[in-house]
Amino acid sequence: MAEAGEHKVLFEAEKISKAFPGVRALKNASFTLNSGEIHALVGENGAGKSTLIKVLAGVHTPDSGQVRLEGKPVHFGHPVEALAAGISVIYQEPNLFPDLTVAENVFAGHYPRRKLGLALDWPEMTRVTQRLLDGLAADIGPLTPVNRLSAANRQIVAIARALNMKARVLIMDEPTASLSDREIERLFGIMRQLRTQGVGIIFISHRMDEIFQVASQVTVMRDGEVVGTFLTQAVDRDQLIALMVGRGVGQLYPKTPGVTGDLLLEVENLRLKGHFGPVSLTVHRGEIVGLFGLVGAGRSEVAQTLFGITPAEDGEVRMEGKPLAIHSPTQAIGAGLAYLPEDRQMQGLVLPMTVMENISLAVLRAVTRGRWVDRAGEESLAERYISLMGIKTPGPRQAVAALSGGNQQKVVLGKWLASRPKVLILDEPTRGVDVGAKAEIHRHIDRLAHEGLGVILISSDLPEVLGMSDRVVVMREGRITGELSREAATQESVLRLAFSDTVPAA
Amino acid sequence: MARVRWRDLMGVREVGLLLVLLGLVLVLSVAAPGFLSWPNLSGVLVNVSVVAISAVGMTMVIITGGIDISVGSILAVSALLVGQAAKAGTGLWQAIALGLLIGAALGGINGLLVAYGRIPAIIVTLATMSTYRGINFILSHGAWVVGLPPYFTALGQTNFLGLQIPAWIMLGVAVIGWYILTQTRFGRSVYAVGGNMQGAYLAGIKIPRVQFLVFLVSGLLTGLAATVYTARFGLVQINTGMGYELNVIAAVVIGGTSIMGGSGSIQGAILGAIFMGVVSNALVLLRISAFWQGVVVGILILGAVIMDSSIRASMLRAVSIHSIGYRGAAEPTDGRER
Amino acid sequence: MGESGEEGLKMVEKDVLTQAVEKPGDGPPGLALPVRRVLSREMILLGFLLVELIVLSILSPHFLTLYNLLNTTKYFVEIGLLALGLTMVIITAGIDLSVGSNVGMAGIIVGYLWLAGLPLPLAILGGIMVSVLGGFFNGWVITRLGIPPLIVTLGTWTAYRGVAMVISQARPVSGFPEWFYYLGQGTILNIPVQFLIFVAMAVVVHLILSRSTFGRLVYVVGNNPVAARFSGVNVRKVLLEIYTFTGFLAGLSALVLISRTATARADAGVGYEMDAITAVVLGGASIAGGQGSVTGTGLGVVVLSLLRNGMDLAGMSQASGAVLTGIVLVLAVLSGEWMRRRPLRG
Repeated sequence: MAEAGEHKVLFEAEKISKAFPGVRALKNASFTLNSGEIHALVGENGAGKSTLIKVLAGVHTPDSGQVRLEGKPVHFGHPVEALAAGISVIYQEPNLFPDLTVAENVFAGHYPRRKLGLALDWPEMTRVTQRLLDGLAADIGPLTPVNRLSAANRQIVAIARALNMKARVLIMDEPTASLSDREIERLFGIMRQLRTQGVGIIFISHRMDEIFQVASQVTVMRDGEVVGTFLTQAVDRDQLIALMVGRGVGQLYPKTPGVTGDLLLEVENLRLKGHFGPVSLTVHRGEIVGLFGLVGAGRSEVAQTLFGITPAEDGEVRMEGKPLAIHSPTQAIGAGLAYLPEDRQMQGLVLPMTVMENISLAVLRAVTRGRWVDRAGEESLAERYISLMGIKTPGPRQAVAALSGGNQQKVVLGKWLASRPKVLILDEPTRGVDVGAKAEIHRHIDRLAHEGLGVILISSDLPEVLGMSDRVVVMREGRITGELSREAATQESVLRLAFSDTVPAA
Repeated sequence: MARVRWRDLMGVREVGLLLVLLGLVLVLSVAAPGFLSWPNLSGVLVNVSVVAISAVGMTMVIITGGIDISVGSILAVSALLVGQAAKAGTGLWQAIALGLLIGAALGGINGLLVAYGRIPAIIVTLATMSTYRGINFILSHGAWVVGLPPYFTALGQTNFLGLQIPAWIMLGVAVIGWYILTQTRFGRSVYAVGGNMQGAYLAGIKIPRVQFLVFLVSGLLTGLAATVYTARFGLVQINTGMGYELNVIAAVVIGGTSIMGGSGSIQGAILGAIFMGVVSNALVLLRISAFWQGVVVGILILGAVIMDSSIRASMLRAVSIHSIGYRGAAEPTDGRER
Repeated sequence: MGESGEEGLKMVEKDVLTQAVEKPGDGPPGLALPVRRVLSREMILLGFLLVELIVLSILSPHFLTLYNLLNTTKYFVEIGLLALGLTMVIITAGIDLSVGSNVGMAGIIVGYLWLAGLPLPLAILGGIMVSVLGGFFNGWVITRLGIPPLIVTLGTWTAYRGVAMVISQARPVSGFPEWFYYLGQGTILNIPVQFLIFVAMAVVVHLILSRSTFGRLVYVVGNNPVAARFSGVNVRKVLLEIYTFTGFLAGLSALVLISRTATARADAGVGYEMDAITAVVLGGASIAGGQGSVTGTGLGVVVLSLLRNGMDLAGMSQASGAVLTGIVLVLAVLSGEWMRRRPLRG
């Protein structure tokens, strides 16, 4: 572990553990922030960054471990206590009040009042806000409603708010995600300026170049643990990525060599303005096509467009040579597509309803007699997929909410297999499931490919993509940056395409 | 007082409504010669005053994301008791205070149940609508209150600087309501709670307190409206205020307050009430059967909302956040962590 | 694991966030077992009913007679029919304030079509068609223009009543052919005819909700419209059909009402929407969507109407019934809330 000598320790977390029902989100995570330092926090999705931040910001109380501010132990019972202690969080989408003015947002929760009467002290609010904005070299009027500001200016309002709270620790959660290059430059300028004023900044980003550009130290997290803290000068990008990705490829993934058959799905120049495009790809019978990319690369958006949730503006999709016009999920299902969505609980399941009702949802027509649900048929359908997928449930009439994450995911997979698709799109199929269930899901995917299904596997878990795919397609910022055969796809080659600093010719 | 600028007072929505209103006035002044006379116009203001006074409180409730459908029943109970008190010879000021007190008490009960009982506002006020209505019937024994003393009815019928008192009260309430909503901590918290409840929580705003207070204010102002109502009509029927809540909500919604919470204004609500008043006045002047009123108001509500692109935009945004699955405004954290 | 972090934040904020009208799908984990919850709500209602029966039969010797009980059923059918439609609407996290006005509009259409010389059966058909159209219009505006149901039906609440007023000029129609009164005044084996209609419709709606494909989709849409869409459910179509069907039930309710009172009036059914919503919520349907049943709603309707009838017989005013209605509603919802939260604390 590195120590930046001349700065004093500002904020530290020691051996923090935090468990949620069934999950250990943080395991003995330690983290030290010095004053006047920009400290990057990196890790794959699900590595525990957000949980750590929420502990630091008083949203979660840790199960064990200690948080210290300038050496003194602190216990935050409410985010406001952390705020008062000088710890501010700026989220990717800042928590602002759209109908209120900039000044009111800067003072939210602690509006100054005039000495006499109830009225807000507008002159004071305006003056202080103007001063803060000037300090940030921002050209925003204090009395402008926030809903008229750009994403970048909203970030600046959030920073002004933090400064107004006398923040000594600023936690920035992917602040650059929705900003343009110029806006990012300006944000970095502000961060450097704050650093000279002794503010400690925790900076989360998925963009490696940004981390090397602005941070002096970097802490890597993986699977809820801190892997290590390094001076940014002492590491390079590939080392960081290797640390983030972790374990070696190969042993975990039961991919068996299969036979790739005829062309099944062809996508040509698919486009959705503001999200992705043009995107072209093909899937063959029995083939697993890995679709890799970082958050925001547009993978899920492509999948949801293929599935008719956000219909494409342009492009052509053919299944077994026949052109498809897909404007709704119903049509997609009819065409032989199935989509296991990224957000299992919001998009994939009706949590309060039973396993049986969830499995039959996409194929209700298959288990009806006239207008009535054929309960016996539904139950036998459910039981078939419960045993096929190995879902651990007391019975088909168990509410899905009561199952573990892995079993919930198997319910969603079962639902889509019941629709007998030709092409199965899996969006982060193993996110948030335990290791055992993960391996099981991988075996299912392998088996399905052997049975002749075409599979598109979207994942930000690189070893998973490398281990499972016959072919890897890499996306970055809404475009496909390359396609690699199983043999050519290595951590390095894929990441180079996913992270590449230069925009490829599209 | 802060620098009050025209732009702050009149947002896009209010200006739009004002233009429609002016257009209507223009048409009416040609079509109905009697319309543009001061007695007629001031009459319109007086006619809408009762609804407008309640609409000020309702605006605050709706901005927090709530709804109060018990105001009709609160009006009935308050009017009854104020009427009975006035008949028994209470002084004018005592009668006004009584109306405020009863309204505040009934509204406070709503607020307690919503803020601390954590029952959805629509259910709470549905229940109290029934309960307060029942109380009204019990207290009235099914009898009207008639024969109110002249010093009391004078409140509703005296002229002052060309306008009758009820209109002045309405304007006063509107100004105070505007001041509270735009110039005080409480007022700004009302918007914060309705606009971004999670943000309000993270900023340390005491959400239950704000929720309680808006219902209290809604009741309080309805109590005042009841006094004005009683004084103006000089009697209290047993079915006073039936359907009143929906008229009040209509005024607020036509005035541009979003039923989803977070945005809206007192000026808008007053304009909305006046707009409805002008329309019903027009029906009278143009000798269109008063029976058309319901249809017209219904069309106005739907038309106002359909035109309100902000509501539609926010709805669409909400829909797309869910359906596309982006974590945006609804999900400020990256939320994907183990 | 992914959602747990998120869930954790929700759990911290749940206390404040659940105070607002909850959106479907983001309820706390305690929502997981709706069946048990609804059942326990039904138990509470049965308890209420029992207490009600005992107290009222002590207060009035006439109360617990078969004649009185059967007679009572005459008066709740009109609201009961509306409550059946509203049960579906509320399961989808919607609301329909226009049902009472739709009753008035449909009734006036029947009356004036008949007055205009149409044979009564055709007039009845016309009335029903208008009420169905009224429901369809609500659903169309809600699903196509994306306006919240509360606002849409607030608008049509006044508009439909207005249509009735305009057509009738507030003049009632009476003097219908004798056979028509059978619907609202006749009996079969001492049982009021309209009660049988209500039971039949309740059975139908119950079967739809519990056994049919459509009913399944109603709950799916109410619990998680996003997952419904991601699974190929046509959410708009489901909603449109529900509001249209509710319109049909309003038409039926209008027929029963005209027949029982022997007049078609423009102000028929004023305030019915509130009684019907009360019955539905009392019956355990969650205003946040996803939950509700015909059994619960039926019990809610019975509890409400017995309360009013019993108060009447016991020499207390209708008003006491209204007061009690409100109190019972708050208590029922509070106890439901209390039960929902208990397992979270334990």
